[in-house]
Amino acid sequence: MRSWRNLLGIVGLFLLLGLTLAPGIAQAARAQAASGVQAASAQNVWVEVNPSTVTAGRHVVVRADCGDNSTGATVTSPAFGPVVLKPLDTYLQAEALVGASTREGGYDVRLACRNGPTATTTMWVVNRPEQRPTMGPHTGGGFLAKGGTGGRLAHRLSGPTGWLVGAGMALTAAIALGLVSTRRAARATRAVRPERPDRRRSVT
Amino acid sequence: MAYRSSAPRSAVPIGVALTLVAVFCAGVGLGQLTGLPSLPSLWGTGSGADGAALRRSLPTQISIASLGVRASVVEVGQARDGSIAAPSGDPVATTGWYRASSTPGERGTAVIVGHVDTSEQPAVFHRLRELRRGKLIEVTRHDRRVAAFTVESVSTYPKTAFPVDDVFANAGRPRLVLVTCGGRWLGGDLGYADNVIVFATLA
Repeated sequence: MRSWRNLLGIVGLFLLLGLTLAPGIAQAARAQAASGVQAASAQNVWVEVNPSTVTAGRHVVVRADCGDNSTGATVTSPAFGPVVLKPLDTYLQAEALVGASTREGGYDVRLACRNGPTATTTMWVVNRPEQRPTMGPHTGGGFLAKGGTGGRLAHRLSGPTGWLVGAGMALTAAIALGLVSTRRAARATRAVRPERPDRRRSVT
Repeated sequence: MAYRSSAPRSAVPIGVALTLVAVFCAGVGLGQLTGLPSLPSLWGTGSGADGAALRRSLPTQISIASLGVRASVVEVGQARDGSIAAPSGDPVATTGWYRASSTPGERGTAVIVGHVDTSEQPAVFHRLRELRRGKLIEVTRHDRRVAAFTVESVSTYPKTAFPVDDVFANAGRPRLVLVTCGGRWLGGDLGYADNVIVFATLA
């Protein structure tokens, strides 16, 4: 019947909607953050070094926005000398090498845009090899090794299990409501005299 | 005896709505179980279109949907024996970002550690070794951007042979490394004999 087909179509659509939106819902908080594309206004001239904390002897990527990025810019620093930034996507970018003999500490990185504006940031050089850990973390207490299993209920209900439990509950409620309603309707109309001349046909 | 077989009008829309809610929730649950990839064009990911690195920003939250993990991220340093310190706070809901590593999303490697268990109960990373290649890990940063990483590999190393060079290597795309304990329980100062290490790259 046509109405059943429509109903199936709507049910299918909702299932598809849920499936499609599943990762989106899991990332709900991201909706705010996603709008933060790094678009700088004409007044917002900036320069950044990535990573901003680096070991001597490593490369870093310097990225900048001069507002008008068509003319290029130069970046200078006591840690790596003058570097010419070239346009890449909507920004200016270049790689720089922090000399292996660079001492630990903070170093200014100065941007000089060819169209005038300037900006500064700080880069930190650390001598990581001495600071590198020698061992993995001690992040265990032995519960699982001694035969403990499973997780707390709250832990289990987060993620997909919680959603499926919710689905089951909603479906049960829907079925229960349907059963209660049809029983109530049947009981109510049974009180009516059976030989009503203008009895209504049920519509299915 | 004849009677109307249709339900009273008020119950039908409620019943239909509940059924649709049930179907929707089932869809979401199934979608999360199967780990469908995200829709970057609609919600945006933390990285630029070409997977470019993010700026420095301290991590605040970590989420691994396929394991049901949602926890805060605090800062940890080095313990006196040269190991990465374990995070303090509730071991079920707290992980630690190693402060001498990149922040998640930056070029280089961000290292986040978490407890596998305490002496009394499982902890935040107790299912970490169930992760598989392709699964999603999301780290929210202080600047409210979310860096999404896909798992490349899950391995076990003896604690005393921690692969420092591999973990801190800086090559190509920004990476995330998750570390917890595993292997045999030795007790004493060492605790578990091994570390379980997950390598992931920025999506």
